[in-house]
Amino acid sequence: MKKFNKIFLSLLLVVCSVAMFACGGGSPKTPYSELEGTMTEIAAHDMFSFSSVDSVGSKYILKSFTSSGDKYVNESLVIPMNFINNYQDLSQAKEMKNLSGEQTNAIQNLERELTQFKEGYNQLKNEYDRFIIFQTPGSIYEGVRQAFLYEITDFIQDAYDLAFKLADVQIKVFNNYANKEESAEALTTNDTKFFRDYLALNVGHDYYNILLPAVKSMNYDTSSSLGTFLNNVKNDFADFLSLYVSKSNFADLTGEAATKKENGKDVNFYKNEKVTSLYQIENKLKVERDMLEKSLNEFSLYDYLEKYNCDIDSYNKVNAYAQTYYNQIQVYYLTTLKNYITYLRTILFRS
Amino acid sequence: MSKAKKWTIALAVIVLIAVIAVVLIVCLPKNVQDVKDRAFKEQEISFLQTDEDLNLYNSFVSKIEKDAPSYKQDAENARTVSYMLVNVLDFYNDNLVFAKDNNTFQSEYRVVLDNFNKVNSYEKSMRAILKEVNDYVGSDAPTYITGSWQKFEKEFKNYLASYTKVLDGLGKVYIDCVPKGINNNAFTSLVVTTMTDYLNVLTDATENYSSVLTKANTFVNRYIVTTTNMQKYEFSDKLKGEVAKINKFASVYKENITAVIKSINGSQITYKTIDADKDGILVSLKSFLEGGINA
Repeated sequence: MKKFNKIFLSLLLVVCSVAMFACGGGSPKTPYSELEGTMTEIAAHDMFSFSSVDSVGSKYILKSFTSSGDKYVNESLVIPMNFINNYQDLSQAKEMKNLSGEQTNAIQNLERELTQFKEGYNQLKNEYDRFIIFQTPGSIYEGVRQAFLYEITDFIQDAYDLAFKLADVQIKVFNNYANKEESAEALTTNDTKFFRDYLALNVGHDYYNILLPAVKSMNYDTSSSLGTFLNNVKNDFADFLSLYVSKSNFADLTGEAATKKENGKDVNFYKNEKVTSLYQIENKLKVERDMLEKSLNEFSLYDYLEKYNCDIDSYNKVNAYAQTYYNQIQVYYLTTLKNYITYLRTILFRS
Repeated sequence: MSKAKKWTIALAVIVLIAVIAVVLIVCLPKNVQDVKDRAFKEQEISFLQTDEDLNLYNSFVSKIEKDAPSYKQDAENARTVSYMLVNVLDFYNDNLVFAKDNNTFQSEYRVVLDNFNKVNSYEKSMRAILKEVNDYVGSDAPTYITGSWQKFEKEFKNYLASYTKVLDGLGKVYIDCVPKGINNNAFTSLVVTTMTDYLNVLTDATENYSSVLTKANTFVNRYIVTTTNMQKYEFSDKLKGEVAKINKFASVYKENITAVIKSINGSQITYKTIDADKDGILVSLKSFLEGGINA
C-alpha cells in the first residue's frame, strides 16, 4: 500500500506539473513567422504591384484600381497593409518570458485574426481568378468587377482588423505608444514613428468606413449634395495621406526630463505633454467613433440614394431619426475629423 | 371567521395590492425612448413651426400693429422667444439619440414629459385665441385686440415657463447622458447651463425683457445654432482658457451667472465694474454671454 501511494503521488505530481505548464507556465506561441510569410505571399501575387497612391509607396497596390475614380480603394488598402508590413516583426516576443495575462491575450487575439485574414485573402484570390477571365468591357465584366470590389472591401476590413490586433501586441507586449508621460525613458524615434502610424491607422479606418462598404456600389450624381459630401470626404482623405507620407514634416515628440516628488523624494521622469495631449484626444475621438458607428448602422447611404432618391423626408417616414444620423455622419467627416487632422498638423506633423 | 374579520382581511389585501401597484409604477425603470420620441415630435409641432400657426400669428401681429401698437414689440418678442426655444430643442434632438439611460435620464423623464404636456395645453389655448382673433368681425378693434393680446400673453408666459422646464431637463440629460467625446465637452456644458439661466431670467423678468431677450437670442445663434465653438473646444487652448476663467466666477464672486444676466440693461451688462474684476473673469463672462467667445 505504501509503495502504491508513493507511485500514485509521484504520478500526480507529474500530471500537475504538466497541467501547470500547459496552462501558462511557458511563453505562448507567436504567429510572427506566419504573418511575415503571408505578407510576402500577398506582395508577390499578380493582383498587387509595388507602386504608390498619393505619394504613399506600398507593395500592396491593387493594379486594377489605379484610375482617379478608383483611387479611394488603394488609399483605404495601403494604410493597414503598410502598417502590418512595417510592424510584423514579432521575433522579439518569442524571447520574452513571463508575459502577463493581458499580453498573452493580445498575442492570442492576433493569432485568431491572422487566421481570419488568411481566409479573407484566399477568398480574394478566388474572386480575382474569376475577375481576370472577363476583361472585355461589358455587362459581365461590370458584374464580375463589382463582385471583386465587394471581396476587396471585406479584405480591407480584415486588414484593418489584423492591423489593430497587431498594434495591440506592439502596445501591450513591446510597450510602443504606451503612455510615455510617466516612463523613465524618452520617446524613441521608433516609438514616434509607431505612434504616428497608429494614429493614421485609426484615421484610415474612418475613411474606409464611409468610402467602401456603402459607396462602392453606388452610382450617385457627383453634383448632388450627397455627391458633394462624398467627394469632399475623398479629397480630405487624399490630403491626409499626402500630409502623412511627408517624412520631413514629422515633429519631434521626445519628452523633456523633469522631476517630481514621490514619497518626499525627487523622482526623475520624462514629461511629454504632446503625447499626453494626443493620447487624451484619441480617447475622446473614440467616443465620437462609437456614435459614428451607430449612425452608420442606422442610416444607410445606399438606401438614402437608391430607395429614397436622396429625399430625407421620405427616409424620415421610415426612420424618424434618419436626418439626425445623417447629420452625425456629416459632422464627423466634415468637421470633427477635419478639426482633428488640423490639430495633428500642428502637433504631430509640424505643418 | 366573523364577517368583520373577513372584511378587514379583504381591505388589507386591497390596500396591499394598491401599495404594490404604486411602488411598481414609481420604481420600475421608465423607457427613456419615450422622451427622445416626444422631443422629436414636439420640434415639428411647436408653436410657429407650422404654416397655419405662422399665418394666424402674422395676422394677429398686423392687427396689433394697427389697433394696439404699444404691444407690437411684445408680440415680436414672443415670436423671437418661440423660435429660440425650438432652436435649443433642435440642438438637444441632434444628440439625444446617443444619450445613455442612467439615473439622470430616469429622474428627468417625468419632468420633461409632464412639462411637454403643459406646453401642449398652453399652445392649444394660444392657438384658440389666434383663431378667435382671426374670425373676429366685431367693432371696437382696439379694445378687443388689446384684450386678446393680454389673454395671449398670459398663456404665452405659462408656455415659456413650462418649455423652460422641458429644456432644463433635457439640458441635464445632455450633460450627464450624451457621451463626452470631442463635441460634448466643458464648453458645451457651460453653454447648456447658461442657456437655462437665460431662459429662467426671461421667465421671471419684467424689466429689461427685450434687452435680455436680444442677448439670449444672440447667445443661442452664436453657440447653439452654430456649434463651431463646441466642435473646436478640445483643439483650442484659447477656448479652454476662457472656459476655465468663466467657471471660476461662482467661487470668486459668490453668485451664479443669473445675477450677471439680470444686470443686462439695454445693450450693456452692468454687473459690477471691470476694476473689481479678478483675473479677467468678468471680462470673459460678459464676452461669453454676448456670444463673443470664439475658438
